[in-house]
Amino acid sequence: MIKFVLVVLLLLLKFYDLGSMSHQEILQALRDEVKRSMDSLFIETLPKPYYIEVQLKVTNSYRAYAFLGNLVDTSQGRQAFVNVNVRVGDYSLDNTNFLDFSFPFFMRFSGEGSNRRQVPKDFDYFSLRRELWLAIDFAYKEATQKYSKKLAVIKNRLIKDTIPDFSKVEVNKFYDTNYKIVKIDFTKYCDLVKDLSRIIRNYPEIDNSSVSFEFLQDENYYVNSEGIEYIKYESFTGVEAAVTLQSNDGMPVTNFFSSYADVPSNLPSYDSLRSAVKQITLHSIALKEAKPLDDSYSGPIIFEGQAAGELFAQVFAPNLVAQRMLLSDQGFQNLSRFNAFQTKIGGRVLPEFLSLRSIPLKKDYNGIKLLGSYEIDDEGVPARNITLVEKGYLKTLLAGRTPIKRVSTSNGSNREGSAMFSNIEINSSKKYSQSNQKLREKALQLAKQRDLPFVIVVKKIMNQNIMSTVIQSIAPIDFKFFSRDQANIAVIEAVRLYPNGREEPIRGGELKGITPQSFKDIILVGNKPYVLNILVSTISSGIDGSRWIGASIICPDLLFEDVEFKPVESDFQKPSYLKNPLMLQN
Amino acid sequence: MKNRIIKYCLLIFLFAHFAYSADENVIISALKKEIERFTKELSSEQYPPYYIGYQVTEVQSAGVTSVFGRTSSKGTSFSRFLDIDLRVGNYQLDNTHRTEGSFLTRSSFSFRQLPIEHDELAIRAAVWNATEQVYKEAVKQYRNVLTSRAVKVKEEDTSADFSIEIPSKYFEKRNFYNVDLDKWERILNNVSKIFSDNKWLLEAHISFSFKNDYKIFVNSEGSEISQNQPQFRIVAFARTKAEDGMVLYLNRTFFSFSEEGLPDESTLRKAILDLVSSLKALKDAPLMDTYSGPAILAGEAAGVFFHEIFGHRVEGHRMKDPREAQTFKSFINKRVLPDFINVVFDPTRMKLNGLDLSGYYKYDDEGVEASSVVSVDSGIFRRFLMSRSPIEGFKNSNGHGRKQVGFRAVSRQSNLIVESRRQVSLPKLREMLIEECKRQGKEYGLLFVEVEGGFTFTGRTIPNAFNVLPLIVYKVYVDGRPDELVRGVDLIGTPLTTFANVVATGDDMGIFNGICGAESGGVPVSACSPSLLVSLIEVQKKAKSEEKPPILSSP
Repeated sequence: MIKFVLVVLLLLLKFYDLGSMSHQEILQALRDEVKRSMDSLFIETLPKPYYIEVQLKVTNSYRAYAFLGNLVDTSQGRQAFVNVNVRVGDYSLDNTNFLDFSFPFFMRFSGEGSNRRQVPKDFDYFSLRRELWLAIDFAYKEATQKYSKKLAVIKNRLIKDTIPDFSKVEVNKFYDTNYKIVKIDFTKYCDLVKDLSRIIRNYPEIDNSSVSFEFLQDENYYVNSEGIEYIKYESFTGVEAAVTLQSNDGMPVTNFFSSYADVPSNLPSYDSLRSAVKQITLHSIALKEAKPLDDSYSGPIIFEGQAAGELFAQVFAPNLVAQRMLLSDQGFQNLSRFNAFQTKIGGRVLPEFLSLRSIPLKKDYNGIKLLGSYEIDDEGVPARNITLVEKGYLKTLLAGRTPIKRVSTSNGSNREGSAMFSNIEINSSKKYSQSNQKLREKALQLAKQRDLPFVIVVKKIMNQNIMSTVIQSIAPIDFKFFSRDQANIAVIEAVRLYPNGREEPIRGGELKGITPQSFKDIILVGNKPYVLNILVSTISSGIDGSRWIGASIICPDLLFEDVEFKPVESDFQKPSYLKNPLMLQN
Repeated sequence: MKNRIIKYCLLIFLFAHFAYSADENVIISALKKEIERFTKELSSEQYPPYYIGYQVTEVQSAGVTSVFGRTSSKGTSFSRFLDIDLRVGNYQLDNTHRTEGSFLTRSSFSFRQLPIEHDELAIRAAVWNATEQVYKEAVKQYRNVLTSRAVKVKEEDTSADFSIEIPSKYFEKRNFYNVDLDKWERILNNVSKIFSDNKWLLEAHISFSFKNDYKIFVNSEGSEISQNQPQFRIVAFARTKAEDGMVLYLNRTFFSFSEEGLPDESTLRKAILDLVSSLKALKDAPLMDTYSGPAILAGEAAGVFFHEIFGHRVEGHRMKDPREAQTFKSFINKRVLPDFINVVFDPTRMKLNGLDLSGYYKYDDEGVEASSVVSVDSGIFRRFLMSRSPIEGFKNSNGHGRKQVGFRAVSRQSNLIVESRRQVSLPKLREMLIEECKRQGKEYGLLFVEVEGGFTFTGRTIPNAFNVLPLIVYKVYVDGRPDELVRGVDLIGTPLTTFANVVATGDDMGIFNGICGAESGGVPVSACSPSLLVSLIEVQKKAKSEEKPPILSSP
């Protein structure tokens, strides 16, 4: 079926300057519409809302992307959205934690909705209230429909779950009004990405590349019907670079660099950034000639620096988040794949020499700013540092205001609409915390016992954010850096370590079958923690649909006793037929 | 980074900080060098490219939107995109040949954003990298085509995959437009205050938008074309909800090729006042039941009607696809409309009755010079709209291969103009409507004043129907009662039957400028027609929301 529609062009360029309302005027607009709705919003025969929360998010952004010394795309602007949640019923049973497949999301008319509802550029008291009015109205009607469907499902089933839908918390007010929106000389950062990308021009072996800069500042205003209020400011900036090429046998090779901070002035120096871009470029070119693994390797593997942190971030940390089973017509369901520890509180999840803390209140570590820090979570609950794993045993999970059986109240971990980790620190008892040299010796000893000629040291693994937002946009769609199996993790930098200490780079490879349970098999860790600042994907989509948020993993090198590392098995695309024009110089 | 996942926002959020000196020759030179290199160096491959076409589109845009008297968004942008059409095989049979399931595949790198500066080597590096991918994909597709041909029965239409055309050379310097966005912001904010006085409006905005596509086309056959395609638009939109939950909306659009051609503040003010009062009347209008009987489609509505039910069916490439119904394939040189009607598609026409036509262009997106196509002459169907994809009996393009950046060109409409030799005054047309109603024993006829567009099914597996979406419809009573505004119906039918029922036309000319969306993306078109009297049309009830209007009053 082909559908044709004559449409008029609505070119909506979303930009604007600073609004002129004071913090208090903005909060007042939010309070007034919440109060009016709590007092008067109801349909006869249907329940009134028992809880309403509204959020205004104003985002200021700068972004630049360059290729071989040239700008490709730049943007700068400011956008404002309101997000609204309405609950009907009561704390013990309401419209949430219910999966309604029949809900007609696609029937929405554009301009309707309660999340990411755009507010005019220079909004005033009335334009803000107007959008809140429509958003709350929409959310209320949606909530009542969902609530009645949920009740119908409950009446038809023998439900054993008596966990409340929403937990009560202390009413807090948090006003961070001392911030100032940072204005930057954007041209300077455009020049920066141009200069960094120009470095790659000297290496025509590179097929494609990207260097980008981003600076986002969010002003968040929040009011709920319980009296919780906050104003908080969050800023994020980063420089990312990525390169791709193909080896002579067609295998794709990639590498990337990323550095994130709160404001651009805290990014690494110009010289360090130049050196990082050059390093990933040279590494990729060197790897072009490196030997891939002949066969799958199964044995001890050391994860160093970024690789150790990434491994924790990708495989272990997402399981530290409390996830409520959702009721549906087909019973309770958990849609997330990160649910390994939901019933493990009290059980062992790491070796007994390892402990793990969530430290959102910690702002830096050994002088390095931590990307996941915050003082108050997105539901207005104060953040707290929590020991999640003590001497190998799971103590609790990170939770927002949605309770689960073993975690009945919030510990201030709601980020972008659901519980999420932020700064994670992994500590070891001294006995098992050894120098990198000792780790290597131990690994080689284990290898010898298994008649393995070498052990593998993994130094860098693929970051999911970089993969989906950068590398996929510069690499051909059928470039396979790793197989499509979701459980496999692509390795960017790894070496074979021989007993004589020689390191030999491995081209292409992926880690197979590492699960959260595999971390119990860590046998030694390093004694120099690495601070990894990264963007991680929220477990479930947030109140405003954001997906990537900052996190920090402070983690030593890790020695696993037995991990499978396999060569990428794929039919690779042929290498380029023609030389890169950069080689021709005319 | 964080923002990449909201690319859809960024695309509408761009801001150009840099002024670029126009040096089109750098791009043309880069494209020509890469074509030459690929053609030469791949010549000894088993499947060398026999055709390479590059199109670079530089998009300069600016826009501002006002909501209830306040600026919602404002910005400018400049981007540069590359599209590649690379073919292996030969003109008769190449990698683009349709195979089963091939509609699901698309060359992964046929489109790429290019650096916006004039650095020939960097542009060449980007073009080279993208072309490598497209070539590999093309070879893969061609192998599939060869295999498919070996196992399938002979096709009905054995026309070539690509037509041979005379290369064209045409050069325009890139125009840079200095748009006074502040002026438009001021005007829009002034006029959109009118919306604020109407609390029953749930959504209302007015936007000014400007876009110039500067297209540079170079191919391996020797064509070199560069042309500007500017568009200036103002769109006012308002939405409300009737008490029964029906979502109602209206818009007013103004189009011009120049900023000066757009209306002034007082004209916009009148347009918004009219929009608001029309929407208010519609909100209070009664629901209409299903109906079949005579109707008048007023000018603009008639244009859209023709665009939907006729225009899409004469897009030539559909005659090649066995999944398509191919309504007119067997009607060449046969009657499809009354003998007083001509239907012409004329992309060379810039204006009609003093108004700019948005389907105007000099060369199409395959580098073929635009030409006027008389598709229906005195009611007899004569020819299809052709891209470079030949069909039985039509071996060449007539300059209608069109596309949006990022898509492959297919035959698309341009300026559709309905000409009539049986014109009567509008009062007379109305009299004829009433007479026809009386003849059929109907209490009333319908007058379609505004439509928003529509859709049509052209495939074989489903009924070949159309659905035109009216916005403003009146009942015209035969007993002299005043016309009554009604809501809640869609105009439906099948094309050939409906055409046979066109009885007469008015002496007016309605002009609709819009963007038509189909498989090659959104392209600017116009649809121009006199009012039509149709002896029999059918309407069905419109789908509607079951949501009530907002419970609380506007704050």
